[in-house]
Amino acid sequence: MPYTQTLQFNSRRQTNWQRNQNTVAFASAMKLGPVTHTVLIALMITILGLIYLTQATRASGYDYTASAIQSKISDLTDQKNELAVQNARLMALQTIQNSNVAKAMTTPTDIQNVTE
Amino acid sequence: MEYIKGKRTRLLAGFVMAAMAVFFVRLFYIQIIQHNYYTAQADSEYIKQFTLHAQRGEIYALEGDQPVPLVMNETVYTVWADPTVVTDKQKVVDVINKVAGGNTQPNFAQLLDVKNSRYQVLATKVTRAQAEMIKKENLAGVGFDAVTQRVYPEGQLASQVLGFVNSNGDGQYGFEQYNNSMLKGKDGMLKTVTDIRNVPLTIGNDNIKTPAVNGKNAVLTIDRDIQAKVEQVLAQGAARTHAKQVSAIVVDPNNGHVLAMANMPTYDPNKMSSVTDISVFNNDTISKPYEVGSVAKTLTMGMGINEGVMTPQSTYDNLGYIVVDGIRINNADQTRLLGRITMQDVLDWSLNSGVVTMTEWLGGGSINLKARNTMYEYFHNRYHLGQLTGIQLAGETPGTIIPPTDVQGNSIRYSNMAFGQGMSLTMVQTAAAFSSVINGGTYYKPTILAGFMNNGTYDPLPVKPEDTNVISAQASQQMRAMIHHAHYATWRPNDPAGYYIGGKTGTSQTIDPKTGKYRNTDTIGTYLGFGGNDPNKPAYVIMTTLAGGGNFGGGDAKVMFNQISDWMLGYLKLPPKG
Repeated sequence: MPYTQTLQFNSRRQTNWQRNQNTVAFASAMKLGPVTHTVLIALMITILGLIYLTQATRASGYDYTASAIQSKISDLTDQKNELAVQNARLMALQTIQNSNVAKAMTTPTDIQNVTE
Repeated sequence: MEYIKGKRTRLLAGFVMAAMAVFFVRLFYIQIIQHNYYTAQADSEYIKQFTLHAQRGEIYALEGDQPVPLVMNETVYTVWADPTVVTDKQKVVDVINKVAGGNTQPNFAQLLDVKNSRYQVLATKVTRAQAEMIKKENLAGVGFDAVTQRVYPEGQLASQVLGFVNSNGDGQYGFEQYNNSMLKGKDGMLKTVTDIRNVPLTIGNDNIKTPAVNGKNAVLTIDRDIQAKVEQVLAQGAARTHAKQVSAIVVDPNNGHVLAMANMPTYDPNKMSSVTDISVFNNDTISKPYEVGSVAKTLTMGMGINEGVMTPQSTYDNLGYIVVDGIRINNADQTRLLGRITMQDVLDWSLNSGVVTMTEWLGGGSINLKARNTMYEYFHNRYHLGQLTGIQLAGETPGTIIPPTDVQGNSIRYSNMAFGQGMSLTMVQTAAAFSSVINGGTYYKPTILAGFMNNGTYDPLPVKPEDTNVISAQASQQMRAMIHHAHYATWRPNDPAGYYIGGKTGTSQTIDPKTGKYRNTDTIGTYLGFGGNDPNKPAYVIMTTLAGGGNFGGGDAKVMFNQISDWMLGYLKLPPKG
């Protein structure tokens, strides 16, 4: 790749201040025109826009996941409540009294009290 | 030419500038001046506000010290159809009939033919499991609305204590109404950007979420087993005596906890549509004051002993009647125990002349202002009669005790009050006052709220007395002995041996609404007593009544008292002593 070497001369004072630093700079001979600049800027804006859209969509994706989990929690809560109600109905006095076990019970004829 | 060409250019430039100015002004108006309006318009399109419904608190009873649910919440579904969208009517009918046959609307198949409607209810109160089965069929035009409803696993048990919830979600009657705000909780709010399916999205800066605060889960002092036994005894009592109103209340005299309160007739909150008489919603034990009759003699004598004007062995001459301010007051049996008798005899045989005489002793020989003031001090201020007890139930009424300063508060009135007439009291007031007489002299405010369920754990509320030294411990001890004696004096029940039980009958006349006078053809029978295995510490107080449609005496109510009391001794696992 062709390049030009440019020798720069600095003042004595500047040389003292920047001692031990490179005093040679390499500059590309390729020049970019205004059209190229415009295209590059447009590309950068497009890429940044795409990155923004990607992130925004990802956030919305989390919202749908959260919504689905919330819906699942709600369903499971309903199931839990339903099971609790069924359990309470099964344990209700009326249910117990009407059970075959209860019907088979008899009144004790003699009761002895003991001290615990 | 150069001049003309420049002129046109300037004209064009001017025109363009003018057009731009119009655009600028218009945009300024829309974007700056009308900013709020258009922002609101945009927000209304994609920002939605949802109500986060608070869950109504559940209600528990106790079984011993373990909470058991009485009122719970259940999500049920209303199945509806849009007849304009339904494509396979027969399949819809078949599936609904098969899955939710017991919950369908009458002739719901015909509702699917109503083509000018887009919402026809096919079935109500369908369970989640049933709804899932219907959903699996993918029926076109069929939808579901979730509804939360109260369910009562124990049926009619304590229904008049609990009350119910109306269609607006507000409590009616009983505990539900009195504690509505506590049980109801507070709805929350979610304001958020949503997509087209109303899924909340977190984009935007204006999202607001205020979580719902669920109602508290309350634990009642009601003991499920005692309540069930009391309701059973009342139903049997009503069937046996044909009384129209039968009531009972069971209280722990050592903390004021109401262990049971019931009335017959009652209702099943699961079958509200079958209720034809709304009076069954009332809890008569707190809402129906009446003249309690001779059970009040226990309160009068507690006062007399505490004031030092009588002992159980104090005597007077019984004539079978007594005259106060020219008005003759008769004993129920004017021939019984005539002559010199003791105050224990008075309580045993419920002699009105005896307690009126004792009341005269408070005033030094007559029911003067001093005697009446003393009686009012005890009845109203110490026993808390004739006023609201503050029990956490809707519909409590205060009853009436007329003060001695009132024109009506004369000696005749106060002589009647000594044996339970001339004042109206509720059962809960009377049971709480009686508890203070027999528990050593401490008045506990009757309560129905034992505590709360927090995350599945029962947190009981602390117990604190309302008043101490209502009567002295010695006076209370003497009253227990007198009431114990009275329980066995008139009719020796077959109580189990080794227990200490006491009680007093009451038979009160009612006022004939036609004549405004007392009548003997429609009386209320009451029994008020205590029981336990320790003479110094009664374990329970029971009050029973029968009324309506006949002459009911304390003896009728005593049968119910004995049934409950005998059962309580075993239920509380009290070993016999002595």
